[in-house]
Amino acid sequence: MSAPDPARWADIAFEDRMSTVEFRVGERAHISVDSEVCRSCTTRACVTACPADLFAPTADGGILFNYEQCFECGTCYQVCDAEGAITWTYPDGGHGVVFRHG
Amino acid sequence: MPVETVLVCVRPAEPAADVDPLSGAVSHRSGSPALTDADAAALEYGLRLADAWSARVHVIGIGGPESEEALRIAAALGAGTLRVDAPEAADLMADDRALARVIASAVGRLPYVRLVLCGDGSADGGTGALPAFLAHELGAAQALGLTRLEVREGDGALVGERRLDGGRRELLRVPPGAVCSVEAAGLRLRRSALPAVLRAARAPVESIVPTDGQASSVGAVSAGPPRPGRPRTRVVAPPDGTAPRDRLRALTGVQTPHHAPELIGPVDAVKAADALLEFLQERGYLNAPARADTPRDTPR
Repeated sequence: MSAPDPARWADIAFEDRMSTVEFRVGERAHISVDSEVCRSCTTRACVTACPADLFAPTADGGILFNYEQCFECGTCYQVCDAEGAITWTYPDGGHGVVFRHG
Repeated sequence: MPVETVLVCVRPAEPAADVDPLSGAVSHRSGSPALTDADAAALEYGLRLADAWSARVHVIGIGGPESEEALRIAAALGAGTLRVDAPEAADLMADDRALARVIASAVGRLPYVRLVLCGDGSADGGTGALPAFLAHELGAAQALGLTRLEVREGDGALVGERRLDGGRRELLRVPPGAVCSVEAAGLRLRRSALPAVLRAARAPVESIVPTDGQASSVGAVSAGPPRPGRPRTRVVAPPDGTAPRDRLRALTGVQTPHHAPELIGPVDAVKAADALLEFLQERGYLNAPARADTPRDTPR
């Protein structure tokens, strides 16, 4: 198993990326993860692909997920290989990510 | 005949500093002049022109009470004094435009001002822009960076001399009411008599305090509230694949094998230590042979 490419995000610190957006967190989680399905997943693409670094594998084979700082890009849903593992909707009205420009 | 005034604007000189090369201790050199050379030249020109015109010299000093020493030097030479109260730390000292506005408001309190003189630089970080701002506030002509200023014999016109590139000079005919700045070039301030020095040392110095509206410039550069840094957009090479999903997988690095950070807890300290050791053994850190040639405690 090789190490991740160090140049992949070398020019943008994760904290810098997260500091450019604002999150209005709703009470309802707009993403849910079925840990039972995830236990059989070998690729765990969501962990790698999420730009907000919200997915974390656990030692027992499951996946922990936070929806509070989700960019709503849908990447996790797109790259997931396991059917039914991720349920994805947009947040309720007035909630979610706010991208600040300028 | 109405009384005329030659107005001289001076800014306090910073005391010269000596730095001990061994200890780095800074001490202020005693006996450093209260006037910069350029301000002293402006005052001397003012005194000469006042003699020629039978006018009175008035000196406006800028700064805190420590700047009164410069005004007392001028008072000992027979000049009237006024201090614009601007502590060294105040924004006013760094804002030549606002400073010019304050001085211009004080000009109205004086008899007819025939000429305004300034040094062409100052020791407090001033850029020499004050006379230009002052001319703007007064609506007056300006002649800056003069090396000589005198009343011409014959027609009695005021003539200034200024350097040009290539070693050339130009002569300027200075109209009444103009603002001039002079270099400290070949001119020394005259000495005053001891009785006058003693009188000036005890004489009170009138001061004026800028109002809120005068103490800052409209349109000056200002800084807004701090904002988080926004990194530049990273240019990424187009990913391979025709299907959006394939391109997304290539773009996000999903297809690159790696080991993601893993949550092992919450567990107690023993299990956490075991997990850490297992992690290190998996990656060969603990199996690496000890480097006997460079033990950690060996001094280099």
